[in-house]
Amino acid sequence: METLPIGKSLERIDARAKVTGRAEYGADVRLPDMLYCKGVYAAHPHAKLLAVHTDEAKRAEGVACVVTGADIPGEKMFGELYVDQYALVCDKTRFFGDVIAVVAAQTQEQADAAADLVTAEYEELPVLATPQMALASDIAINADYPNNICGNVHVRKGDIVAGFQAADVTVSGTYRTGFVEHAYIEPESVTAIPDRMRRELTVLGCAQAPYNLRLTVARMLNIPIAQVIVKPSVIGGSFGGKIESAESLAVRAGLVALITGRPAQYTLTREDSIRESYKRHPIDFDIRLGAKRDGTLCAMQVEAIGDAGAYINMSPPVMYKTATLGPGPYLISNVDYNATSVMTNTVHTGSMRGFGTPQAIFALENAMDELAEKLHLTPTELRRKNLLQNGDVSPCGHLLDFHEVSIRSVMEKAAAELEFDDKYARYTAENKDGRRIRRGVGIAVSMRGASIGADGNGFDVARAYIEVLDDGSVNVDLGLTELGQGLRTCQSQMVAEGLGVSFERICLGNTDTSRAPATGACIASRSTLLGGGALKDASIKVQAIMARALARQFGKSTDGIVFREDRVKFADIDISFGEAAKICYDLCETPIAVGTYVVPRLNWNEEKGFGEPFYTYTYSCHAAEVAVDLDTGSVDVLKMVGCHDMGRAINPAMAKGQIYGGLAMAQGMALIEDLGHSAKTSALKNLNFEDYLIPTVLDVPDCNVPILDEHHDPRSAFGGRSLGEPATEPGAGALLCAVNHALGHAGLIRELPADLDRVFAAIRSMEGEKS
Amino acid sequence: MKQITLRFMLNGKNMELETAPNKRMLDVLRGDLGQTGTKEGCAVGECGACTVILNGEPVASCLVTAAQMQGGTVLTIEGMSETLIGRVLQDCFVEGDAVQCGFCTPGFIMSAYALLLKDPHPTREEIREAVAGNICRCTGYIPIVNAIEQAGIKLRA
Ligand code: FES
Ligand code: FES
Repeated sequence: METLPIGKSLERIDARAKVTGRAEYGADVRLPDMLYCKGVYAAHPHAKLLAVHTDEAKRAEGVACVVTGADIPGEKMFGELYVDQYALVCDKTRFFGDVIAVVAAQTQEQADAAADLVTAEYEELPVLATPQMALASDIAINADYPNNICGNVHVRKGDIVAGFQAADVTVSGTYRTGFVEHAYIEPESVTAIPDRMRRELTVLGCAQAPYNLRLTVARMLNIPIAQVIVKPSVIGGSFGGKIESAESLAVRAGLVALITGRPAQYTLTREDSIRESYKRHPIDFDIRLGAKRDGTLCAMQVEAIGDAGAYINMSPPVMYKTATLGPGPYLISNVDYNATSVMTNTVHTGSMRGFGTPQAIFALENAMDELAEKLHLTPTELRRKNLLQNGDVSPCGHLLDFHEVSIRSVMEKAAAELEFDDKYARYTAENKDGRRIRRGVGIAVSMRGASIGADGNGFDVARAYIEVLDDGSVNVDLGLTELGQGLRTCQSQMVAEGLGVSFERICLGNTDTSRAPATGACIASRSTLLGGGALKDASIKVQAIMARALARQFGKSTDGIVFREDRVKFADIDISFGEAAKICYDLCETPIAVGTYVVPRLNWNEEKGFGEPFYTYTYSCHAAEVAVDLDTGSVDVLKMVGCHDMGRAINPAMAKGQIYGGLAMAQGMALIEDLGHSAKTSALKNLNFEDYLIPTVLDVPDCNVPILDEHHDPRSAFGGRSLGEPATEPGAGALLCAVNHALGHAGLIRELPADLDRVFAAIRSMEGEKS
Repeated sequence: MKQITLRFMLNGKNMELETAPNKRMLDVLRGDLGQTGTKEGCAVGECGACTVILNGEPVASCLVTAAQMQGGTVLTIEGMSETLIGRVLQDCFVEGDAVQCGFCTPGFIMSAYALLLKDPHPTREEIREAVAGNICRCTGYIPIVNAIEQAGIKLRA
């Protein structure tokens, strides 16, 4: 029996270090002579910064230096796609999380105390706290975007007017979502270490995107890219959140390190982390759906407005995903989906697991239930009527003829596990008997594009370095970061399969940007597809080098050479991989290669908003069951099921781990998480876990079920696609469908989070209507 | 502030150091003693990442002062491998995929340790209650509860 490394639930390579306390996270770094940093936040969310007074702080006990924006020697702003974010404000504050000065001292306590001594002078500007205010204002938060609009993607297919004319039934309405905090349990921490010999910085800490960080530090601190070395520490969760957030800390700490010549650590308190780090976009959706009497969808029109906050960050690509994936996995001929992001003086928004789609799926799937209700169909009946199948064209115009379009099987498996159809009928009936605790079920489906998509046409590349050593061990340098998802274990499994060796040979060291070639970030559902592609390419190259050596050694043709299960076979030769490696070194060959994978160019027409938005897709369905107490408004989640086709589960146990976690994160977004944003002042009220509640073990049902529905993807080197983002994508939608089902009215609650107050108010309005 | 001489037992070893009496236990451990396995996630007693065992009880070390540790017995994640319950918990967390980013893990293991120390036969509901003060953003909890349940079974065998 053949045993390949992929598809096995191998032990996570970092687990032992994590259960013993040995794993070193950003704030665990201890260096002699190290300074501790503290930021001073803007007192006004929108104001000209006239002066920052640091003298008193500089004289305080233990203080080594105080830096401001004026001390930054290079570019004053950063940003991967749009360079508009301050690490230290220079001329104008844009939100409450802006930092105007950083104090570095011998101890954290001294830095904290001295930070209170920094004062500033401002000329206040009107605060544009919501997209509506920003759109109505003639004040530009960023002068380059005079109407405060910083991103727009408009998907169009067919003829939307004709589509609605052909419809027998339409539904329309508004859905809204709120800010969501990533709530990684590890607050951000970075340490910048100056080199003693030259102007060089090493940065340790929580860098989800080490190459982005390297570039930002290089540009802002005027150091050649090669002399910024980023070595991410063990990262305590990220979910998209430790990209720009880590970059600004690295610039500030790096500046301190360069000025003082001492290592500088910058760790955020939870409050500071929530105050300054970006969030998930709140998005308002005006949605309209039209269908034939039999349920066949004929038109979908959506106008989505996302709050970009103070900095553009990832807003335009987030809108790209909202518009291209928001239409869901449905066969529909007429689509008009317009997604726009608007800058405000609120906390900025950017990458977060799902990237603009959990919101859109919530809106769409609840509107689908409204449609089903109007058509007297059940939610599954309406979806069965419209879900994509092999050979269909996606809502954006992508002909899906290259892999198994499995969304139907994915939905049926989730529905069966929850006993959806049965419970839907049962609860619909029993809820009519006047009971005060009502149950409901909801189901939501999605398709998620892998990687950046056509938005990244031509530059979506990954690279990996593989070096076979003379004892047959394999050193792999890979720039994709471990965020807890198990990436480095999975990527090791892929190298092992790619090279045809046992898993034990693979040594995938920690990421070090001075060793691993630039590979883009571990973001956007790209690591399984792109990392896998690069590792496969490197494996093939290394095998070719080894084959050449073996041909020389044995004087035989190596045509048809096979590397498999730790053996190397050709002609009549059958040797171990270790022996083959040794032969390479004996003959002075170099079994080292860098592999490259570039996502093929996608045929996407940006003008028309039509074509192939992504290279391939993961299909997902979440089903949820809830109980709602009509007297209190409390929602008890009874069970959630997550079924996903991620192509091939590289490590099934970890794949299920992603689903368990994704379901819980969706539950938080759907029902409880609220930053307490003030639509007047733009301040966030809930800055720590006392107020910003995330699901605890007592909230999450103990009977949640993850299901893997695998159909190997021919477009992926090892058949797999990502799962991290899909795992949380449809959950909030499914939960709200369930809550609304329990309340007896699809689309009753249209805003997230559906917390106690909101659910209670909805019940009151519903009961008021009746009486 | 006046320093005190703090004496306590840490993972079976006698400790003695000069420190401020109002310093947080978390800072004594992480700062003075360099024992960084105990994590800080919120500093207000809400996340459980800083959980350690003080005199047999799980406590949020961000809310305990140095003075309260005086003469006490402290167990942290660094000492877990030297205890039977700790070792079994560690194995079960690894085998049960109860660890993702791992930042919450030391706190969960300490809470679970305190539970199993008192009650080797916890029900799932008791396990859930015991770790209700620990939050995890990655795992969705079920694998953690499974791991603790499994540890109880192994310890009884
Ligand atoms: S750091 Fe102590 S409970 Fe969060
Ligand atoms: S494993 Fe990441 S917070 Fe629990």
